[in-house]
Amino acid sequence: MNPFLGYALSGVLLIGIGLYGAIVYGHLLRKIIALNVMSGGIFLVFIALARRAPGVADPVPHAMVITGIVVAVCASAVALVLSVRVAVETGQAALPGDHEDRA
Amino acid sequence: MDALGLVNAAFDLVVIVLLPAVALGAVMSADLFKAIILFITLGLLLALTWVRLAAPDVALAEAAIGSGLMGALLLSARERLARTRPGRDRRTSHYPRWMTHPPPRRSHRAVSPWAASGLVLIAVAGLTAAVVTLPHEAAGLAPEVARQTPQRDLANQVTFVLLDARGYDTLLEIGVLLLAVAAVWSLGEAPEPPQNAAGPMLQGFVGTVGPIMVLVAGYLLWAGTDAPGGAFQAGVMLGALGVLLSLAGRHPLARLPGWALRLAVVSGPMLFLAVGVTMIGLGRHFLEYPQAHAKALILLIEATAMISIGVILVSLYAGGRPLSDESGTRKGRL
Repeated sequence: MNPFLGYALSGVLLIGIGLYGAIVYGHLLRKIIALNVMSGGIFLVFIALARRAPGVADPVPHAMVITGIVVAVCASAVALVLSVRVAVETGQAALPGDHEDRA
Repeated sequence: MDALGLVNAAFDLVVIVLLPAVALGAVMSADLFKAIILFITLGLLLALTWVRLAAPDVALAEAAIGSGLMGALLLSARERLARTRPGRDRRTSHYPRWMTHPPPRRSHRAVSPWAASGLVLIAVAGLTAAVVTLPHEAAGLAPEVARQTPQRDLANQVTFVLLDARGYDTLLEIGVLLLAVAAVWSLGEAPEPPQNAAGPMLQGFVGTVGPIMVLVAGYLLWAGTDAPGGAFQAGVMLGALGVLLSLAGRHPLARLPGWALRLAVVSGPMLFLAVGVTMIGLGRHFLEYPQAHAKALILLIEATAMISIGVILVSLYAGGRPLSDESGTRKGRL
C-alpha cells in the first residue's frame, strides 16, 4: 500500500499549523520556528507526491528539497541574527504592533 | 497484506499522526525552550518520514541540517536574546532614534487568532483538495532522469540531478549560502564565546567523535556519486563537527586568518563557476560536463563545495563577523 496520501495530508496540516503560528505570534523566534514548520510541510508534500512514481521515487523533487532545506536553514540563520539585532536595538524581540509574547 | 506490510502501515500511521501533533507543540508551547526542543523533534520525525518515502538523501540532509543545525541555531539565538540587556545596549546604538524606538502602537491591532484560523482553514482546505484530486500514480520525471543518468559512474540519481542535470540550481544554492554569510557578518560581530570551559564529558566526546565525523564526511562525499550522500551531506557533517568543537570551546575557525577564512568560504562556488566557464570555453554549454570526465569533475567540485559548505555553516552558527577579524584594526577605529 502506498502511504503517500497520508503523508501528503500530514504535510498540508504542517503548512497550516506553521502559517497560523507565523501570523498569530509576535515573538520573532516563534515566527521563525513557525515558518520552518511550514517549510517542513511543503517539503513533506513534495516528497510524498514524488513517491507516487511506480518503482523508484522521482529524484527531481528530492534534489529540490535538499536544496530547499539548505536554503531554509540559511535564511533562518540570517533571520535569527536579525532578530537578535532587533532585540539589541529596540529592546524587544517582537515586531511593533504584535501580541506581546511573555514566553 | 503480510506481517511486514502491516508493521509498515502501523508505523506510517503513527508518524503521520505524530507529525502535526509535534508541529502544534513546536508552534504553540507556552515555553520557548520547549517549543525549540519540539521543533528539533519534528525535524527528526521528518528524517524518519523521508526514509519511509524512499528519500534517504533527503533524510541525511534533514537530520543534519533541518534538525541538528537548525536546533543549535535556535538554542543559541534564544540564549543571545536572553542575554540582551535592552537598557544598556540601547544607548550604544548608532542608529537614529526613529529606527530604534518604534512609534507607540496605533490602531493596527495584532491579527485576531480567529481571523488567522479562518484563513488557515481555507488554505488547508484548498491544499487538501489539490492533493486528493491528483492522480494516485504518476511517474513524474523519474523515467527521464533514469534515461539520462550514466549507468556506472553516477548511479545516485539525486546527485546526478543536483550536480549535472540541474547544476544551475546547485550553483545558485551555494550562492545563497555565501549571501547568508555576508548578511550575518554585516549584521555585527560574533558574540564573545562564554568563558566557562566545557565539561570533560563534552571534551572527551568531541575528541572521540571528531575524527570519525571527518571520516564519515569523506565517505559521504565519495559514496555520494552512487549511494545516498554528496557534497551537501558531507559539508553538513563537517559543519556539525565545527559546531561541536565550538561548543567544546575549541573554536575551529578562530585561528584562521581572515583571508584564509574567506578563501575557504568562496573556493567552492568559485571552482564550480570556473569549471562551468571553462566548459563554455571548450565549446560546450555552461555546466555541461564531458561524459568521460563527469565523475572526476563532479568529485572535484563536490570536494571543494564540501569544505566551503562546512566553513559557511560554522560561520553561520558563530552568528557574526569573526572576532579575530578585527583585532588589528579595532584599536584604530575606537
